[in-house]
Amino acid sequence: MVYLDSAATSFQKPRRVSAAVQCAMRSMSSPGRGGYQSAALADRMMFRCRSAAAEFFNVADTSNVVFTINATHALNLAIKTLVPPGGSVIISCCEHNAVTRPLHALGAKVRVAAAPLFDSEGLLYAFRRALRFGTDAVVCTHASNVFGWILPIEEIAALCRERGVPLIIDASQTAGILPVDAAALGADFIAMPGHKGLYGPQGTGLLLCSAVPEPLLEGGTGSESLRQEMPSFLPDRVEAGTLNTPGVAGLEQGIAFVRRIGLRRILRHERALAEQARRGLSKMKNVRLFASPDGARQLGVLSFTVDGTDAEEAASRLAANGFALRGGLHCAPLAHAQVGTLMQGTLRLSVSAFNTPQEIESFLRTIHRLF
Amino acid sequence: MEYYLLTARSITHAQQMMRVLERSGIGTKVRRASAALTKRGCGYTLQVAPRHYTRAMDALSAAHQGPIKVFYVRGGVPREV
Repeated sequence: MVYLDSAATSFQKPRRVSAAVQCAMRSMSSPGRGGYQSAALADRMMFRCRSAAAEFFNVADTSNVVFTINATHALNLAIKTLVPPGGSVIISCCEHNAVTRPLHALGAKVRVAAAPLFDSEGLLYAFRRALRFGTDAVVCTHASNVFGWILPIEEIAALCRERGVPLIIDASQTAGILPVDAAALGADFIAMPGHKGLYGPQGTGLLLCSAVPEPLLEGGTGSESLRQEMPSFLPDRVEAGTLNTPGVAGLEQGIAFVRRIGLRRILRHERALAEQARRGLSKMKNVRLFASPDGARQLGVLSFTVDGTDAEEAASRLAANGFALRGGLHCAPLAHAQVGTLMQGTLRLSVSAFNTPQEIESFLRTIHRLF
Repeated sequence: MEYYLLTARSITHAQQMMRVLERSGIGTKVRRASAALTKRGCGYTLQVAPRHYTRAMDALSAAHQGPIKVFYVRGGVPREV
């Protein structure tokens, strides 16, 4: 199988990731609980991973790096901290259901800063117009999980700082691929999965905090046990219960892998593969391809449709021929509404550091043959 | 044996303090702390030898990672400093 669905989760992982998971399962018990060797091993590993993430994402205080089970969990923590029921929020036109569903559940008044696909200047203009006093928060994805469009997050963050509006950034598609500098961005929260561009196992995520989040869960933290309120300090305030210790062990190795290879190299590799796919797909008259005219605004995530073929059906035929792509709405109906693909969805090709030009070539030959 | 115990609010805080001290060349040991010591329930302490105490506290203060409480232990009996 050629795996081309890394926007959902990275499937091929560095060898050290699974080795770390297995080692943790054999040697580490519950962190932050006991005082014996297996607990101490777990404690040290958790701290190393937290510290590595703090350094990688430029978070000054290690305790402001919170482990979550995925980006959705991290986004829920952030959104439910900043947005009261019925609160006022501005989002981009590319947000995932992990953002829009919690807002819907809160009954939030949501204004969408909309612009034509890949129009970064237009999007900035829309945010400038939408941002006004009384906005509880802005929630903005760093890049679209459907189209791979890299939004102008630095400028949006600057706008939020200027207007004094708290910002939540969804770095699900960019963590481990583009620089995410928490200190420079000045966002209140940055949410990300551990299992995509950071190559950790599923069941891991990170929330980088400049503000103190409110707990979603109450329970044991291994600290201040006599008190019935959740601790006021991070990370304990929002890390109730036993964490995914083997997952975090794997995530530590995933982060180490990304740092070893380097963001520039990973991005260059993924962009080259996406460009190869783009060139091949654009030769097919029955394919409608969505790609940024500005390569600097494009990740290794490409959406396309095949005339007369439903996206799920097309994905199914590709799967039968050994290619794993996702078809449908990708949990981001807002993004599809922009370009008129809400009913049929799109096929999405998304690469990782482990894909090769030969795999893309093979994919292009197959899709030419099938459609 | 006499030593100081620096109490932390959490395992993460204990590890942050330990990192500061290790970078200052001061070896420490993380130990679980009893509710009787912390008065707040489960917690962690760092054990520091008396000869390192002043330098340890200076380093922690400079790093904004000071302990919640400090105890001096003599003959197994802790006394808050």
